[in-house]
Amino acid sequence: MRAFLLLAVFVGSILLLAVPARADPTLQTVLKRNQFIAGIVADSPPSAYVDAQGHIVGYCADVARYLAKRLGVGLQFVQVTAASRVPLLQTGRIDAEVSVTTPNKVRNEVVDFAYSYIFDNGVLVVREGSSTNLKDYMNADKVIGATQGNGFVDRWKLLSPSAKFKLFQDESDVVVALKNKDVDGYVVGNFAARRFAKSGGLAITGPWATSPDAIMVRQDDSKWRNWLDWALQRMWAEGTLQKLYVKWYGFEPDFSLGDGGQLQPRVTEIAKDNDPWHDLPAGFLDKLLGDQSYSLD
Amino acid sequence: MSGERAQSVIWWGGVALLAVFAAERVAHLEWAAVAPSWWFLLTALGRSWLLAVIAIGVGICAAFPLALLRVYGPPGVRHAAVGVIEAVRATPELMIIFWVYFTWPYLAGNQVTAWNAALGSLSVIAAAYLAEVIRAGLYSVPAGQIEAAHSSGLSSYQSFRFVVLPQALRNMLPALIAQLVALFKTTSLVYAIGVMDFFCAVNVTKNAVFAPYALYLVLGAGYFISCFAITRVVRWFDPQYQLVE
Amino acid sequence: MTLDWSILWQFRQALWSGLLTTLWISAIGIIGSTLIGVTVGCLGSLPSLLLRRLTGSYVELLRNLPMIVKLFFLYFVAGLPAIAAALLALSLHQSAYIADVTRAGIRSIARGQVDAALSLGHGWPQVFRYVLLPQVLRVVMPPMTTQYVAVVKNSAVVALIAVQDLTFETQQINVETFRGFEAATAATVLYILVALAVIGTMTWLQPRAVRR
Repeated sequence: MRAFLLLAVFVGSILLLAVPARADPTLQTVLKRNQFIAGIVADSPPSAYVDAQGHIVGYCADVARYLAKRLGVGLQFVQVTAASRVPLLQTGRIDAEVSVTTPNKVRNEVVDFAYSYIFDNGVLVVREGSSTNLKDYMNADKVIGATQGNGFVDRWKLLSPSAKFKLFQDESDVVVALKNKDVDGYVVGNFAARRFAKSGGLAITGPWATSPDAIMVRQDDSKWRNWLDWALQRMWAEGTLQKLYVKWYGFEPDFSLGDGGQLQPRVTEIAKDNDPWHDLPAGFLDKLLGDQSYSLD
Repeated sequence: MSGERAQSVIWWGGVALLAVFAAERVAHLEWAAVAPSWWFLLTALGRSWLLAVIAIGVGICAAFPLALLRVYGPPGVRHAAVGVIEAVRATPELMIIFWVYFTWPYLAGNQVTAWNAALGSLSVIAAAYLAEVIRAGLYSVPAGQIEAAHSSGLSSYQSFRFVVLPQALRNMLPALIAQLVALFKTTSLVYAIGVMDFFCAVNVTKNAVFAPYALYLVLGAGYFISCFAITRVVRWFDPQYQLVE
Repeated sequence: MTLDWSILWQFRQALWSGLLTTLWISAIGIIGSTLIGVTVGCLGSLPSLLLRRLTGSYVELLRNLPMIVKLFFLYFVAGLPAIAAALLALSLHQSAYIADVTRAGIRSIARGQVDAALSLGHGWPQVFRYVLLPQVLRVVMPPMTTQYVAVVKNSAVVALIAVQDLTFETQQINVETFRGFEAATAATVLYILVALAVIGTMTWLQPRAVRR
């Protein structure tokens, strides 16, 4: 009886939830609200993380700062987690997730993605002294560690269908498990791998896959997604995106933005509708590319 | 008495030995990487305290009527109180926080910040659990005492106020401490909706610098000291407890 | 936003195996924490300063540390296998609370009762069986229920060290398909069912345990 009551209340709240979210295009909402609410998973330097003073920093954060300025609105970061990002997006609590989410088809059934703006090379982190030949790890004997939801896991499964995984929540926990011999290899992006290798006792294999990351938006919201795609391409055309890449990752992007690595022709033409494109204030770019871009918030 | 003294010496000797041993190990952890974040971590711990204090305050205010209704209320009201308490206690706290945050706008018709959602859900959790503690305390007073109070001419209110309540409060103290400590630790779940509490701050630091052992120690120390403080504060209110100790 | 409940059916095997893992980890956690907790609680009620200090510190230390810290210590520092670390952390964590509940239960009985029973010529086993146990059980069973439900809910933390329990599997649904609400609903409903089963069992046991 009690259980029944409980479930009834619960099902009721679910039904309420199933009411379709507001159909307002996000671009209009953002302009009306005069604020861009960017969800960010701040757990992966140098893409997105929290510095020692609590500022949200990283490549993704700087891209969000640029986008807000071009929209001519303020910026608010909302820290999201793997579990909360999609519900937050679907219920309109965040306008986009500006993080390192890897698009795939099944995810695309639920959300949409802008053009990929990061390409990370997947490597295998292993213990120092063990084989750095990837083939030695593509079997059922070796235990592969990774974080739950990491895009490289699916790719590794394609190469090694019998692979055994141990999936953790935090990157640093996988590293400790690796050092403790609880897993034999850690599939992760090159950026994170280099960082962890500095802690010693580890070796990194050559790249074996490339995984794109993209800004995530609500489904069926094409005007907003279009604008983000245009904005990223214009950022690329003026060279700002590449400079941010160098600032955070230390090298020029080893990919080209856009369809097949080409920008859309005439992407820099500003449309009359649905295309806010404010001039950047003097000194903005210098600040964005400098050490203290968080002071722009 | 000398037996007590010998036991005390053994005790403090053991504690001192352990402390020296632990300090030697702890000194070798990755402190250089964590040190710059000390202020950030400390403010986050303050935020956890704020969450806990408000939630416990609201929770206790709601828990008393809830427990009284559950014990003394008329049948319909009693069942409703039971339903609320049991529903909250049966649901994982993380999920309560999650659903409060996401269903609030649909139920109340306005947006809610993560902070308010965290406060709201933690207060609900506190109310339900503390109501149970209070109920157990009320039940711990034997019915015979109430009958005795009645037969000696005290009114229902008087027998509750002067016979049941003082004993109940004293009996519920250990459970109350345990529950307050558990509630403080429950605040760590608000990271799920993006509130930068102590747990979340340690976690983002853990993801920003590679110092897992030092940071897990910071995490443990932060919660240990806080929960220890809560324990002491509650015990301070009960001089009897000191005697029993 | 449309919800697609068929996704849960599609992942039914993962959910089922996650549920089973949560169930047996919780069951062992409940048994383990009761054994340790009741022992510590009884020891702490004996008239010895050293024992009181030792058990008191045991309770404070374990109760004031978050479960995740114990889990990390046992798994990463002590180097136990993941499952062993999970079971031990769960048992140790809740045993502190259960020790406290036990001690409070014993404390709630007036000393005079025991002395009276002893002076009437009853032996210790009889006093324990007919005077102490029924009264202690009456006081202790409701808070024990709370603790057992807490074991079930705390078991969710083991997903952090890659144990594939219910939380792990529902998160897996979430990260694979991005069906966050559906995954959260599955987690909520299944955990509630397990918790209700625990509460139901204890409610069923309580009058039987007290009457005898």
